[in-house]
Amino acid sequence: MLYIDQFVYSNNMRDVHPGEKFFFAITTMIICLMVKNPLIHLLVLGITLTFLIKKARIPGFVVGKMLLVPMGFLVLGVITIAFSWGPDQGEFLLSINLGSHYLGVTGAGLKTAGFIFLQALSSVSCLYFLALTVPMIDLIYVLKLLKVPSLVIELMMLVYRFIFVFVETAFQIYTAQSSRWGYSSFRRSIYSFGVLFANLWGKVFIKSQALMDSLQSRGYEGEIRVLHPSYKFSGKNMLIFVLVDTGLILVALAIPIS
Amino acid sequence: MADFILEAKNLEFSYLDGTKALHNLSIQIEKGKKIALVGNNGAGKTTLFLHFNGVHRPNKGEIRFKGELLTYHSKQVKELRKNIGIVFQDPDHQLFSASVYQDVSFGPVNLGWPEKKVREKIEAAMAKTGIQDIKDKPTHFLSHGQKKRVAIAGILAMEPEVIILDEPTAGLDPVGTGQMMSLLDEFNQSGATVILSSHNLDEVYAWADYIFVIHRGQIIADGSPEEIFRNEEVMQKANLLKPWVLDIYDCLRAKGLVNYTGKAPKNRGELKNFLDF
Repeated sequence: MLYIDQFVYSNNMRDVHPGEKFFFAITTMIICLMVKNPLIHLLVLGITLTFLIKKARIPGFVVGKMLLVPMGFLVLGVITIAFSWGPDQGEFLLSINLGSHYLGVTGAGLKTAGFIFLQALSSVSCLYFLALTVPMIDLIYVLKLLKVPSLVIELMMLVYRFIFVFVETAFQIYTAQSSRWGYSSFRRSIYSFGVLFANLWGKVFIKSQALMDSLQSRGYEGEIRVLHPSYKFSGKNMLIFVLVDTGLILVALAIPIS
Repeated sequence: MADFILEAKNLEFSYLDGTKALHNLSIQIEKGKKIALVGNNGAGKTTLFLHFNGVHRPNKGEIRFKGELLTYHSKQVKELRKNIGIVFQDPDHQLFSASVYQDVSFGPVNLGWPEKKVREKIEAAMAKTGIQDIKDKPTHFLSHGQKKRVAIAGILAMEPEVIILDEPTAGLDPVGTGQMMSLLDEFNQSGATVILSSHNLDEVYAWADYIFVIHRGQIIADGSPEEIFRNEEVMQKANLLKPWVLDIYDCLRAKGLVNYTGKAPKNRGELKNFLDF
């Protein structure tokens, strides 16, 4: 997660209004989910990857590695769809006999599995477009524009900020412990890990009190109100995004599902 | 008669766990000066600072801002927090947002200023602290010194009359320390009263107009840097070390190697000038 963050904040599409990117990603994903046409899914996959690698200049291997993450789940899920179970050996391309019935792969099952695989992968690529080009703070800004309740917004802001503070603190404690042989044996590791967590809890309370003091001294009265950098909507970007999505819908309507 | 912007009289304060943090503490801060508060860890510096803008309320005693007694009406406390800004020691305690811009905007937005004015103040504060080129970075990718600058910008944007900094140079390298001190000089020259606490007595000696020594929740001495750091009784009681520039200078004078009796040198450069026989 920390690793992805470095690309998100320095990607070449950072200046594009986060609202534009958000709506593009969500609309494209909805198209993926509604249309059961592998051509559309391949197109979407191609478009999002092109945007990510060519436009946002995120290294191809990073995008590739990230696409591998859901692959395990996808493959497992798809295998169960591809296989089916029936009394007639003739309908299977490949099968094994289990008593009176057969377990195997049918042509239709393989096709469905392939379609679902592509659909899921292309939808994930839309989410990755969002995750890799819109930093969390910009995403929170979009949610605010969408009138998400301020309690949720504030929580997201604080959680996102303090994830990093606590990960850092946890690593510092871990380093301090392991440099004094805290993880030298299994028993010691269990003990040290417990101490680490207990200490982290204590620190959370101290930090939250200190944060409260500092917020109060800057005029906090129960609501965190902030300004966001002023992003500009760009007619050109919006036109590109709208054209791409309209194109996809037209293709989906024009080419019947095979 | 001096113009005191902040006064505290006979403050008593204990934390909920019974720790007595301030004990019959009185202090008067002159307007427009560069003030330093020195003392051990746990002497009560941070606690006193939190009293100055109404986050802590004393058990006994009174605080005055520009001569007006603090009664802790919410409107008055609000006004006080606009005029007295505190920069906390650990920037990770102060920066609540991952976005530099959002964090700096928090204070001025709370003051209810119109958006245009807030944006101008943010830009000005970021320019003064030199953080424009890191404004698009998330705070967790910033160095300690950069985070400190962001924390200061968040206070500056509110344009307080008094800026309080809790150990602004802790954790900074020598160059960063030097830059920080000249930044504080700039605030002071633009009219703000600057109060800081520090363990770096060499810096304090060179920078401050006036020094308060706090020990076990009490102000045990106050005066010009030379007065304070030459007062061996106070220095010993508060466990402070004499700044080396002053120490060497006084040694040279005692041995009769320097026969100048005016102002003592403030820093390395000024001391060297005395050695050009």
